[in-house]
Amino acid sequence: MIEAGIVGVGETPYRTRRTDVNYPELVQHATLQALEMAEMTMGDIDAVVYAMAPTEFAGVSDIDKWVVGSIGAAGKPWMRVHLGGATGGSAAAVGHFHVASGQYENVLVVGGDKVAETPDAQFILNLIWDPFYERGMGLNTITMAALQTVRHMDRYGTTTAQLDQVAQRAWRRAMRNPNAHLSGDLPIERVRDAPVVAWPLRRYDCCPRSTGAAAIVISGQRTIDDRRLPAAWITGSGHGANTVFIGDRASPKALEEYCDWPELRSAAENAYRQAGITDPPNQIDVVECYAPFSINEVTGVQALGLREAGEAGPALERGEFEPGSDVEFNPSGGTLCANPIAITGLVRTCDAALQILDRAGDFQVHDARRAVCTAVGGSFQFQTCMVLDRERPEGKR
Amino acid sequence: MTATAGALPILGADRAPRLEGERFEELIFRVAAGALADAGLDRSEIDTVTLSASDERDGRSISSMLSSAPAGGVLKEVTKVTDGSLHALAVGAMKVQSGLSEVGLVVSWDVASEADLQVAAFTALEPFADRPVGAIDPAATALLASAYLSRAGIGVGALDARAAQKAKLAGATEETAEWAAHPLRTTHLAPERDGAAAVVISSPSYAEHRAGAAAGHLLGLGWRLDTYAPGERAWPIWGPLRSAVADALGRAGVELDSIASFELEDLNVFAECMAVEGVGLAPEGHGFEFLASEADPLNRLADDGWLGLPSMCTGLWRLAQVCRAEGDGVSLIHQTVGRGAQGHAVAIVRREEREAK
Repeated sequence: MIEAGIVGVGETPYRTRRTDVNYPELVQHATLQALEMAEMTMGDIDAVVYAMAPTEFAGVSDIDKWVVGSIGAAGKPWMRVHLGGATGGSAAAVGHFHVASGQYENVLVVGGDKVAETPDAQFILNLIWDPFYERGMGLNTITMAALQTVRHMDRYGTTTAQLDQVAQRAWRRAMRNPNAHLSGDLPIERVRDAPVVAWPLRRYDCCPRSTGAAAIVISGQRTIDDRRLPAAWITGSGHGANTVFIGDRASPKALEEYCDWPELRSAAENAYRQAGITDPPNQIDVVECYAPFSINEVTGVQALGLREAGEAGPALERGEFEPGSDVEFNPSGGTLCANPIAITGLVRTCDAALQILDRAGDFQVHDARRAVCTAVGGSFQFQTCMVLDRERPEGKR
Repeated sequence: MTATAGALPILGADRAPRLEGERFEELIFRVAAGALADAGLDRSEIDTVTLSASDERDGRSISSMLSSAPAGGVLKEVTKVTDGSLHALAVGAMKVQSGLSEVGLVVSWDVASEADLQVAAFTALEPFADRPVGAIDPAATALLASAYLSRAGIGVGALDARAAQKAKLAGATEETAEWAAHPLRTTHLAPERDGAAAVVISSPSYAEHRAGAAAGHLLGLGWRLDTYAPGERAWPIWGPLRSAVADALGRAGVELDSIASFELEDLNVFAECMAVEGVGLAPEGHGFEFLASEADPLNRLADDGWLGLPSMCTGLWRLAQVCRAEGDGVSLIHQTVGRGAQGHAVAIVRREEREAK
């Protein structure tokens, strides 16, 4: 394996709408930022991996093909990754394969979403389900999370008060992140008494739908050495996948339990094994977890091995992952505060890399040496997990 | 994939058209299971599944949600690309070369009969300039074909002649030719059908320690994408294909002269002409001349497009056929991507006589 690292990061602000730029221009902004940080031009880029999930939100199918010329990539190797919500994380992993395989030296992973171009994302997200068994039930991404929440409450005693704390703290952390879509110091009563979206999830338990673009440059060890670039070394990368059917993960004969987020646990196990992580609470400094609902910070803490099952909710309620803690969880505010759906996984990768590169500004974690970033898609069925290190991996892996 | 890193074994392959009344999940399962059976493997033995398909052509959003499980992706590492089947093969291959996968399935399908392809094509046009014009395929391809004929100084008759040749080879009945978009007639376009293809690839070390023989070896891959607007593409428009071929041959460590069979994209006769020029079989402006000659070495091992192929997976479909063909030799397999063949992917494969091993 050729060792590889992230040497450039670009992110636009995440907002409800961007009427000042069209889609290729939006993506161009993130691309130029990432190239600038990497001290590169498109001439240095050998291949492009494009992150774009369902194109129905932006209203142009195969929208990546429209972008190619505007970022100077015409004639280059190019491919689009689409794995539902996990797209951004999977695209980063595929970019890593490009370099780690020795086929390419400098790879741009980029994408963007303009979710506000569609009037109702949840209507579209109802169409992702099996047309015979599940679509008619009214399943969408919020109701599927509500089902997970109820099950977690039943099995582990997780409370809505814990979820209120998760949401309130996420918004507060996001106040330090200028790119965050939502942020603020919310009174707990406002969170607690917010309208129910799908019980027990209320307004602040749910992520927004955002417009924005993100990009990273992944380089091989030769470029990193020759150009003396600071790098967030990719030391672990795992995927996990399961059946789409929630019922098959929640029945007495299920291979895995739906509310435990086993796909994330599986992806993390693969990534941790590669990175040599055996004691997550003591070997990880910062996590950027794709947690689109407050419950997913609880299940994420659990699945990533930071707390035992049933301990995550109380730990989050006590503020054990807040700024200054041994492990900081979603210091950017996370997906509860910005969710450009097609690339949210790539945003997590960007924000994790910024921590390792010491470029996270006001939400910088002190002396962050190892970060974990994740992405989730489908019916929580697709999962990615990547480990980033400040130290270059030693020895042949 | 690189010559120095060694070729990647292809342990098994399968492809099949969709059966009457078959659900798309059932089609995908049947072909994925067929490739595993051809490899002599059980699903539990693979670690990765890489998919290639199009939501728009599948007629459903995030179609991988429903298709990844029948493709073998339960409690496995799964990802998906939307460009074409050879792009998925590239992802699977690079993962193996990275040491992050030992053995994996690559699965691609196309069930375009479930979708309204005209609507899907219109929504793929950017909304400001292209959508009002409405230059979807075959109109976009026709514009390029018209420019090509003008530059080369040849008439529509060259397209008619090749289409007649293709129809004859495929045993198709002669149809009345109507204009699809000048200079392309309906008879210049290959028929489409639903289907799927799958291959099993592994690391060399994995293949060494198993009993069965490999069906072939993946020697090299290349893929390139041109700019979006057909009018902005530089002539000759097959430049990105030429680059993809160079990438693939360079990684394979073989010369074009040593290719025994060329399995080239032929969604329409103009695409085929551009393919033979882009690959380097004919000089610029002489593609149809080459195709009319007896030297035509195209699609000898795999299905001709006039038999009807699933567009999204023609590359993997033909690769599967090459690997299951008798004898040995090196093949070049090509697939186009997008409107007016915006992109290209090329695989160099060495098939092997399994009995001999």
